[in-house]
Amino acid sequence: MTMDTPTVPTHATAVPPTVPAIAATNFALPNTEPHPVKVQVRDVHFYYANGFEALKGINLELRDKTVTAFIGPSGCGKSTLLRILNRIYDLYPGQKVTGEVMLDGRNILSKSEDLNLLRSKVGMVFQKPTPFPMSIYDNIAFGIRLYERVGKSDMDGRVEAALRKAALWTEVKDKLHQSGLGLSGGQQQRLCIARAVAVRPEVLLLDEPASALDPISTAKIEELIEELSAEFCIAIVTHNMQQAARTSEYTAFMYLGELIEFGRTDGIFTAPTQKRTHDYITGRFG
Amino acid sequence: MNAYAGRRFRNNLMMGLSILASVVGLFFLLAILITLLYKGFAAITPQMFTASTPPPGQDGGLINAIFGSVVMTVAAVVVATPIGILAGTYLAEYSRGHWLGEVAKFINDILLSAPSIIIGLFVYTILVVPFGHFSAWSGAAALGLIALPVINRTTQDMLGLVPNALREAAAALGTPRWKTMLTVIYRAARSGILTGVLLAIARVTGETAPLLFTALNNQFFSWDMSQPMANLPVVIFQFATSPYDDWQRLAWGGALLITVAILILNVVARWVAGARSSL
Repeated sequence: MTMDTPTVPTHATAVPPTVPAIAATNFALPNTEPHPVKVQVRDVHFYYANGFEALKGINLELRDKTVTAFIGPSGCGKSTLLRILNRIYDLYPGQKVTGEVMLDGRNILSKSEDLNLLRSKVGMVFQKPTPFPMSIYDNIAFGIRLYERVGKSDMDGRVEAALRKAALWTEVKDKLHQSGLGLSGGQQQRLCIARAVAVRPEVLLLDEPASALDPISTAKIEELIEELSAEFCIAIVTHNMQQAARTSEYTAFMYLGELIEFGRTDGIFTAPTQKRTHDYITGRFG
Repeated sequence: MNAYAGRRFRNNLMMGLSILASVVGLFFLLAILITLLYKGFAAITPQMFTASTPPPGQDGGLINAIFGSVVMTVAAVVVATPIGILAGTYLAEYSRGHWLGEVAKFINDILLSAPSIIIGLFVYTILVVPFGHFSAWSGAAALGLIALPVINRTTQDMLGLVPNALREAAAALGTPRWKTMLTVIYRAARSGILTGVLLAIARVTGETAPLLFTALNNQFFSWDMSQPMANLPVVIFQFATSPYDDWQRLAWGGALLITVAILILNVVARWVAGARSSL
């Protein structure tokens, strides 16, 4: 185990799959990684209202225009961590966070943070599709209208662009003014993704976005994630190991509120440095 | 094989008992409805909708009572609906976990099941005695006090049915909370809340006891809300217990009218609740 040895890579580019993953204590990835850091999580602890410590000092970083997967058994805190990044946990009084989460160098956990503004920059898609009870068009326009005054024709363009980005346009273009609730589960989830990207966020948080969907819809969502990663910094929570391996560049393995291992996905999946990571990804527990 | 026979016997026995219970329950309901239809239809004449309540032995109708019932119900619901919806919103969305909210919810539930005669007495004490006479305003106030907890409670229940995921989804877009309530949550609960209002109207339409203490009755057609006003339940009560045949006939007609009105309200409420999935 080279857990405490800072890994200073000598390879300048194209990290081969054999590069050891970075252990939990070293949250920084080698600075030769191609994309700049977007979000830095520093020593984050999370406490539920009953005092339970769900996260015990998490350090990691999300890079811009890449996908980072959070994996780990149920209850390990991966969703909790995701829900800190847009402070959605703030909806529930009594939940408490310590530490720092830096978004472009600004601590979003500070009390003065404007939560609505933060959430316009950090979008989120949930496990179950959550279309609003309004038309497909209005589902998309809703978020845009929160921040901008957009004319009718501009709005039409924005809605179309968002739906195209979510690979939903061809399926719904003839029924934009029908209810979003009438779509299939997979379409609803892509509608939610379209709604999230329509407000032009910088970071996109996906909380098991495909776990309630059939394999075909799942494949579409995964394709979509790959396309979106060209534009956004994406964090995805998933229970599906193959999905993590397929969609992400970086993987964080969490267990019982701790970050066990964090590094390039190919490294984590081919040569994990931690025994628990190895056991989990080979299906020995969890 | 034997075990199956035993199970089948017990199944048939329980099924038979259940059917019997349903038949007994439905028999009395049907008996009431049939009597009402039989006696009520005979009493319904065009005059019922044009003339006011007559003295015994003369021709007349119920228009003053119909008008009074409609006016007082509308006044009651117009005031109780916004208060009930806002209170229900506060209790369901904003007071979670706060002791004040829990106490208010509990008291509202008590009010919900309070005998209507107590509501009537209360309004009598604060709105009739000080002014020295009965009035339609006090009748409307009593009906409003009966409708209020119904609307409040249904609003709470319907908002409670809106999945939390929807609140989180709206918040995740950066929607301010008030806007989430107005544009997403109310919309999701709209048909349920509307159903609650319709059921509250149906509930107060048949209330008699609180009106006896407040609006009382009026032999003549009256627009004046500060004076006693005729209304269907009290007219039915007085006419049905009178010794005059023509008054009793009018009472049956009024009873049929109220029943049909409540039936229509319930059907509309069901239809509204069923239309929930469309948008």
